[in-house]
Amino acid sequence: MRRLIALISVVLLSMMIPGGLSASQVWPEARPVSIVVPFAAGGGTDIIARQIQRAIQRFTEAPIVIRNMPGAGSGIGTNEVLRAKPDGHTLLLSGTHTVTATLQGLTAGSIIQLDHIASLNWDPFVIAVLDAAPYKTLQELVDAGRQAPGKITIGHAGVGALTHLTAEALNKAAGGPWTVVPFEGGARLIAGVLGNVVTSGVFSQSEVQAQAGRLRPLAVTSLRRTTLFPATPTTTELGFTNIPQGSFRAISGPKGIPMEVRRAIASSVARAMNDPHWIQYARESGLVKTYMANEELERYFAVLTLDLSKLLRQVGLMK
Amino acid sequence: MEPLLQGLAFVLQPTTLLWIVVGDIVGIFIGALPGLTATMGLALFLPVTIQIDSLTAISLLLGLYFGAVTGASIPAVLFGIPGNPNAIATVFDGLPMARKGQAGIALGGAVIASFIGGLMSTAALLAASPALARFSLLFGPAEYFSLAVASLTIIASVSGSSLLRGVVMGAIGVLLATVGIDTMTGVRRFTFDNPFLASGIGLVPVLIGMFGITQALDDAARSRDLHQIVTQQLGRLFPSLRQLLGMWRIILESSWIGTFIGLLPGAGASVAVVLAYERAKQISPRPEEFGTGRLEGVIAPEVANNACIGGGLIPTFTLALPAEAAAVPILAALVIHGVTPGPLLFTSQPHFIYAIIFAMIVANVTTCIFQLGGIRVFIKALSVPPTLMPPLVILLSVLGAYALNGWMYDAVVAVAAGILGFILKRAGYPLIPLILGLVLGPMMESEFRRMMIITGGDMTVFVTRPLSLLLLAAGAGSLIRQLVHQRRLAQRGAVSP
Repeated sequence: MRRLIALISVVLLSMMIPGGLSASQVWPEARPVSIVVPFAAGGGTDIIARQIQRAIQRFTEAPIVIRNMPGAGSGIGTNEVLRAKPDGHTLLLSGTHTVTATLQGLTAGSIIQLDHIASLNWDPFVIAVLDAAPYKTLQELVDAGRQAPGKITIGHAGVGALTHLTAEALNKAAGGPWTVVPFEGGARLIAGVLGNVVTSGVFSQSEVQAQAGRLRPLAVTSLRRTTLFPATPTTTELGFTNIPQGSFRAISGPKGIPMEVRRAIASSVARAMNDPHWIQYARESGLVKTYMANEELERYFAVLTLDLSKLLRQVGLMK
Repeated sequence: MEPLLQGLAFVLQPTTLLWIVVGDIVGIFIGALPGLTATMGLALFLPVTIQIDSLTAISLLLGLYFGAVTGASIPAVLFGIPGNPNAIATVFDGLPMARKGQAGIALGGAVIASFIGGLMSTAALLAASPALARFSLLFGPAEYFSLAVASLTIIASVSGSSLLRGVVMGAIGVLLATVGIDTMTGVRRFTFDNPFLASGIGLVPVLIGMFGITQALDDAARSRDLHQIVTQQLGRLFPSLRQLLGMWRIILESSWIGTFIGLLPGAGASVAVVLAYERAKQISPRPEEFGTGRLEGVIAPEVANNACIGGGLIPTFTLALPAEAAAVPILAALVIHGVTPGPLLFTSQPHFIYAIIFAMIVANVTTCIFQLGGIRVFIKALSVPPTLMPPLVILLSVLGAYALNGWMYDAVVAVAAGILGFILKRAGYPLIPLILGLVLGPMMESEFRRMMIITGGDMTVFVTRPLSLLLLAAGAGSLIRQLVHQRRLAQRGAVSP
């Protein structure tokens, strides 16, 4: 009898091992993978993270879990990943926010202490004014600022964030015609422009889209025109140089993940980005697809770090 | 008429009703647990709603929102810990009522008040949305600054026995609010290179500490028998109709305060409840009894915090501008489902708006039913021996603070705030101005500095803009009134010893 029980237990226990696990699969193992989102649930980066999580989950057995760890301009969540075991089961929704946070010393390590695995997208910014305002082009806004110094203001959604650096970079490229005004978050900035507290603002595309008819987009900070604002010129077209292209988002992990695991994660991300739901979501949100993996992405992060450190020095947020 | 019926028909579908009820029950639990806020609950439920259609999704979220705001009154009354920042003022008279053996009426009254406040602001949303939405844009940096100054002055001058102590505590709160990354320049203040301090001193941990832990320490020190609260027969849950009718002015004014403060991005329910409480004190024939367990003191803030929901949703729907933090996930749900918020929503998709209004009404009704129905169960579960009460409250407080972000730092802040609060309370310093200073400090400072950037340092703007001037005058008025009042008391004391 006892033997029988032992036998049955062994059989039952062996059935608990998931069938999908085979020797050839290096990632994920049969346990949860967490993607740390260093922002609060419900924000722009969080929504993107949840969309990619769902896309990866469709063909992955191990549960993929989003963990929101907001605080210190994404520094808290980044620290969590820096401390994690490099086994591919703790990942970071990284990007330009990770670069600015590490450069400003908000994290316990630098950007090269992370393994950058695969990139997701660019989310370009839009410079917009009140629809009732007399400025039809970005050049008119520049001219108005030159004629009446201190009268034309440009708002951004937070000190040290990329909208801030974009506002400063634009102002510098135009010869400094505007006064740059910080706001706490996108919603306050929208209220500021709608309420005529500031003349213009640096917004995300979805924010301007939600205010269609009340905000007039003057320029988009991407290299090419976007699907959401095909009639709006890019800052590159308008001759502005060294302007950040918007929020860049990628998947990174702690340093030291074995290369075959990194490749496996990168190919899962690539597969998720071909998911029809993701493609539809990305198109409707005006996200610019960009896929780079591992070595190529590492090089790209190095370039981003160099560019953004120049801007951060310029505004005095980095010594 | 047709869109109205379409909206009604949609909400009365069994699946919609079911989702609203699910939202309600989850919401009440989230609200009742200190540390879990309405905003957090909504954000966590947002991914769930991606799978279902837009109206059902919004209905579920609205149910959760009303549930969470109403549920926060339960621990506020029973333990003196506000389950959410929007229940801070419910503690003032809720806990003393429970101590007097009127926990039932306090809990029931809070639910009824929430119901009325929710309905009033829903009515405002229905009747005057586009017009009211414009009001929230009239508030620029100058007005926000003056609003913060006025609220802080009013609270500092009316709470506690001494004007000076109130002002000192308010100032300490404002000072504590400066810890963290300065939002105007990015400079780190008082952070000692600690990433948690860089995020500032959280309002919710301080709130939990100064109400929950301070209260528990106070009770332990007095070895007061808390057992009576938890095991007492609840008795009557409903305040009598006459009692409620007698408070019509307080209810009406609290609804307005809640709706208007709700409209303003960044002001928040914790400001509305304190203002409503103070206003109720002014209206009441017996202001001196506030804080000793008066029903009005529970009704006013509970009307106001639910009214804030409707108020906050007005600019969310009409301007795509989430005025309350909790409205952000609701806006996100709209956008995810491809509904474009804006004034056009009212003309292009009226059935959608009507459905939302009906969902709000249903959410109000079901929250009311479920919370009243569940209260007895909730209380029974808490019949613990008296000596265990203070440790239990401390445990709940520490857990709640930790649950907020999963940071030990927040739990440490809660404990430190609790001990500091205990010492200050014993020394006779009022804690409310300190907490309000923490709420309003960042707004006051950043709006002032934003205005200075825009005007190039011209400070006259605060008195040349009419709304701003009006608010500053209200603050000054309450300060002067309190000074005169204190002098009169002192004189009377001198004349007739």
